[in-house]
Amino acid sequence: MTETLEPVATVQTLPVSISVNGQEWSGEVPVEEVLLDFLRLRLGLTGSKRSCNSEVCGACTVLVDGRPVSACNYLAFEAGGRAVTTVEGLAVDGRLDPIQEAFVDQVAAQCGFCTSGQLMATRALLDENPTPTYDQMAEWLSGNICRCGTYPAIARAIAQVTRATTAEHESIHEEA
Amino acid sequence: MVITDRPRRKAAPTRPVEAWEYGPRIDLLEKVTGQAHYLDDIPDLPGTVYAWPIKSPYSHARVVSIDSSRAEALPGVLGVLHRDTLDGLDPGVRVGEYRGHTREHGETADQHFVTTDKARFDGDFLGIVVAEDLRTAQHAAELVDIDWEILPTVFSFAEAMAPGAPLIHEDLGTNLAHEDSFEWGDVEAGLAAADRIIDGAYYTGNVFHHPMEPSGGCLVNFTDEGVDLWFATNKPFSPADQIAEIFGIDPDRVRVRVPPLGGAFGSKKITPAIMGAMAMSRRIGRPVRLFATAEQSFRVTARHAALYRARAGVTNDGKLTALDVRLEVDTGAYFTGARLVTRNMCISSWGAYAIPNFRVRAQTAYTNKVPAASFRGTGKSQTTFGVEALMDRIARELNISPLQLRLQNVPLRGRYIADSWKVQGVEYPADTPPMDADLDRMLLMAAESIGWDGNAGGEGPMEIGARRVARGRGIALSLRHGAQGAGRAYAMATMYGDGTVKISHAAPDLGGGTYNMISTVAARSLGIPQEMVRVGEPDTGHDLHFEGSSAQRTTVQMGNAVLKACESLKRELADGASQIHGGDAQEWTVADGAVSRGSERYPYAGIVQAFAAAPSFEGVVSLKGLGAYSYAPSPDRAFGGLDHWAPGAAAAEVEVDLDTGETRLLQLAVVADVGKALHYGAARTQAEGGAVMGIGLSLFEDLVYEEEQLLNADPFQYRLPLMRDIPEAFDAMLIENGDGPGPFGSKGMSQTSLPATIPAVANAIYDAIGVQVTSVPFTPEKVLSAVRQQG
Ligand code: FES
Ligand code: FES
Repeated sequence: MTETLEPVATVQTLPVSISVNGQEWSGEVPVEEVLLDFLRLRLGLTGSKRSCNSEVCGACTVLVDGRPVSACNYLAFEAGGRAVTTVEGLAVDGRLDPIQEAFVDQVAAQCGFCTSGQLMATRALLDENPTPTYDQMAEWLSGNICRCGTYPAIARAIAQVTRATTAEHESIHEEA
Repeated sequence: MVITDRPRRKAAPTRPVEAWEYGPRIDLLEKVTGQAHYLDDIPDLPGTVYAWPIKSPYSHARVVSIDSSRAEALPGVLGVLHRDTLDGLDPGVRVGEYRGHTREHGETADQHFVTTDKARFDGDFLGIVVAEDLRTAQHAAELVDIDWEILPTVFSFAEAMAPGAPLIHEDLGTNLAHEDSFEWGDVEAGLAAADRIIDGAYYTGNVFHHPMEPSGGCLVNFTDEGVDLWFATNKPFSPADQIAEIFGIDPDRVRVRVPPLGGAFGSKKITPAIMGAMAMSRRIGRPVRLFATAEQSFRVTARHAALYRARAGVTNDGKLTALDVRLEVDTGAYFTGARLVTRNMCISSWGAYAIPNFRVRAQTAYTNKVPAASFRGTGKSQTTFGVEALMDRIARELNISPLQLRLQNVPLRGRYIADSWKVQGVEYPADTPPMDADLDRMLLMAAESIGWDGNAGGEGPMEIGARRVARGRGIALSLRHGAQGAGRAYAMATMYGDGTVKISHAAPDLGGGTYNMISTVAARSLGIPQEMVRVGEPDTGHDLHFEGSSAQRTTVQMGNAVLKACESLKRELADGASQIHGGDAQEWTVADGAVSRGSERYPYAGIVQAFAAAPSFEGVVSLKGLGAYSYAPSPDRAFGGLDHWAPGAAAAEVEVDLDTGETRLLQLAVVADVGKALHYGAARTQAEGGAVMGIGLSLFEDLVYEEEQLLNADPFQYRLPLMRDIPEAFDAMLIENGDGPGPFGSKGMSQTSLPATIPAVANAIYDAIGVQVTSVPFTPEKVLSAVRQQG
C-alpha cells in the first residue's frame, strides 16, 4: 500500500571556479543551486538578502563581471569563470567605497534590508555612468525596492558621490 | 519625454545641525558592509532542521480530512504536525499579538494555534512539516493530502453584514465582530445649527505592510530547559505567555531574542506557524528553522479595509459646527487587531480640526480575508483620507480655498480638543493634552514648499507632447496621538572598567534608528562619546520589560527609560566615589565622563576600576543603573498615554493623464513636528520614508479579493512604490521646538507623514480633474472613470 518515495536529492553537480570578492573558489555545486544560496550558505556571505525570491525586488543584487544580477534567480554554476562582487567586497582594504560612505552620511538606509542590493546596483550605475541625472538614476534603481522609502536619501547619497552635491549636503558637512 | 517646470532638488535642512545630531547612525556601518545579522543570517544551531508550513489555499473551506502519511514517508522528513497529530497540545489555545493583553483582548482573540475545523482565509495555518533539509520539507508539505469542502466567501463589510451571509465564526451567530463609539458635544444640535450639511463616503482597501524582510520566520530551540526563540518582532515580550500556555511551561522559561529587523510597519508578530515550528522542536528535540517567504508573509497580516462615511455641518463662512461619522471596518478572518484598530479609527476620525460637536459610530465585521491588525499609523491612514477628502469637498462647495478652510478650523496651540467625551456611552474627562503644535504653520510650510497659494483650480486640460494632462495641487493634515501604548518601559545601563557603557533593553530596531536613539540619549546623559556606548540586542532574558517598538512610543518611552537608567548609573557612580574617596554621595558631581568634588576629579572608569582592583571585590567590574518610564496611570480615563500630539502636513502636486488615468507626482512636501530630532538625518529619512509609503498606498497598493480568491498576494503582482515614482521635488521638513515629552524635547514622529500623504494626493487629483476619487488607491481605472464622469 505504501509507495516508496524517492528522496529529494541533487541529480547533478558541476565543477566550477568562481572569483568572489577577489578570492578564487573552486568546487562542485549542484546544478540547481542559485548564486544567492551559494553565497549565503556555502560561503557565509549573508550581506546579500533574500526577499521576493523572484527577481522583482533587487535585495539580492550582486555584480557578476561588473553587471548587476538578481542572485536569487541566477544559477551558481553560471558564475563559473566569472568575478562576483558582493556587498562584503565593496570596501577595499577596510576603506569604504564612497557610495557606502555616502549612504551612511545621508541615512540612505533605515532597516538596511534592501541596502546591499541598492549599493551594488548603484555601484554598477556609477561605473557605467558616473554623473547620472535624477531620472537616469531613478530609472536604473527602480529594480531595487526599498519599503522603508529611502529613495530620496539614496538620491542624495548618489549626488554626494557624483559631486553634484547640494548646498544642503555641504552645509551639513561644514556644520559637522 | 517628461516635461516638468517644477523645482528640482529641495530638502535643505530647516536649521543648522550639530555634529552629535548628524554623526553616523550607529547601526549603519554594519548595514552598508553587509555585516548586520538579520534573522535569516543567524547561523544554524547544531542539529538544526527545517520547517515548511501547510497553509490553506482557499479563503473559506471546511477541512474534511488531512492525510500526512505520504509526506511522512518521504525520506528526510522528521514529522508533520496538524490537527490529528498534536502530541496532546490543545489546538484551541489562541494565538495572536492582541491576546492576553488585557482581559478584553483575551476574551476576543480567536485565532487558534492550529486550525481544526475550517480555513477562514487564504493562508490559514493547518500544520507544519519538518525535515532534514528545506527542499524536502517544502516538497513534503505538497504531499500532505487535504480533503476540502469549499464554502462561500465573504469579502467585504457589506457582504458580511447582509442577511443570510455565510458565517465566518458559526458559534457567534453573526459576522459582527466589534462595535465602538466615541463622541463629544451634541452632534444633532451642531448639525441643526449649520448652514450646510455636506457629506461624503471614502473607502480604503486592504494592503500589506510588505517589509523587505518577510514576516513570520523564526529559529527556535525547545529543550528541557525551556524555549529559546529568535524571531523578528517589534514586541519581544508579547508571546511568552502564549508559548507558556500552549506548552504548559513557566513563562520565565521562554527567552525571546530579536535581531535587527528588515522593516516591520506593524507586521512582525508571533504567528501560528512559529508556534508550529516550536511544537516540532519540542517533538523532535532539535532546533527548528522556519524561513519566511514573501508569499507567506503576505498572509500574516494586513491593513484593515474601512469605509468612512461622514456628514459635516458647516457655516457659510466655513466654520465646522459638527461632524458625524460612521465607520464600517473589515477585520478579516480573526479578531486580531479589531478592537485596537477600531478604537484608533474612532479617536482619529475627527481629523485635525476643532469641532465643537463630534460623534463616531463604528462597526467591525469578520470577512474571509487575511486577518488585519496594526499598520503604520494604525487606523489613521483610513480615517485621515476620509476626513481630509471631506474637507476638500466642503471647500469646493463653499468656494473657499482648501488651505483657508483648514487654517480657520485647526485648533490653535494651547487649545483642548474637548473637555470630556463619551466612549461607548460612558462619560470620561478628555485625556488629550492641549494642542502642542502649530498646525497652521505646518500647513503654510507645506503649501509654500510646492509653491502654492492654497487656492483650488488645477491647470489643464493641456497638451504635453502627445499627452493630454491636467495638473492639480492638494493639501492635508494628519494628527496622531504621540506615544500611545501601555506598560512601563525599563532599561539598564552598565558601566565597565574600561569606561564603556552597555544599554540593555527590549526595544527592537525596526529600521528607524532605535539603537542610535538609545546610544545618543545615553552618551548625552553621561557626557561621553557615542563610541563608548554599546546598545544590546533585545532579549527578554534580562527581564527588562517594554511593551514594544510601536505606536510612535519608542523615542518617548524607551528614550526616557534610558535617560533614567543613566541618571541612576550616575547616582551609583557618586555612591561609588563616596565609598572610595570619601564624603557623602551628594557632594559628588557626575557629569562629562567624570565624578568630581572640588578639585578632585576621577574619570568614570576610575571608579569602576577602583572596585575591581580592591582584593575583596575581585570580579566586580561593572556598575549598573536601572531606569523606568511610563505616562502616569489614570484609572478614570478612557485611554492611556496620549501625552502629546504628533501632527504631519503634506502638500502634493500631481499630473493626471486624461487618456490613461495615470497619476504622476510632480512635487511632494511633508512637514513633521518632531519636537526635537535626536538624529537629524534619521528623522528626515523617516519622514520621507513615510511619505514614500504614502505614495504607494495612494496610487498602487491594493490586495485584490475576487472570485472567491486572494488574487495578487505575491511580490510580482503587488505593486510597491519604486524610485521612479518619487518626484525629485520632494521636501521633508522637520519642526523642532524642543517641546515634546521625550528626551531633549523629542516627540514620536514615525507615523506623521504617511497618513497626510494619501489625502494630499487625493486632493491634488480632485484639483486636477474636478471630481473626487473616493476610494484608495487612485488607480488609472478609477481616475479615468472619474475623468469621464466629469465629461
Ligand atoms: S530576492 Fe532576488 S530579486 Fe528579490
Ligand atoms: S532600508 Fe528598509 S527596505 Fe530599504
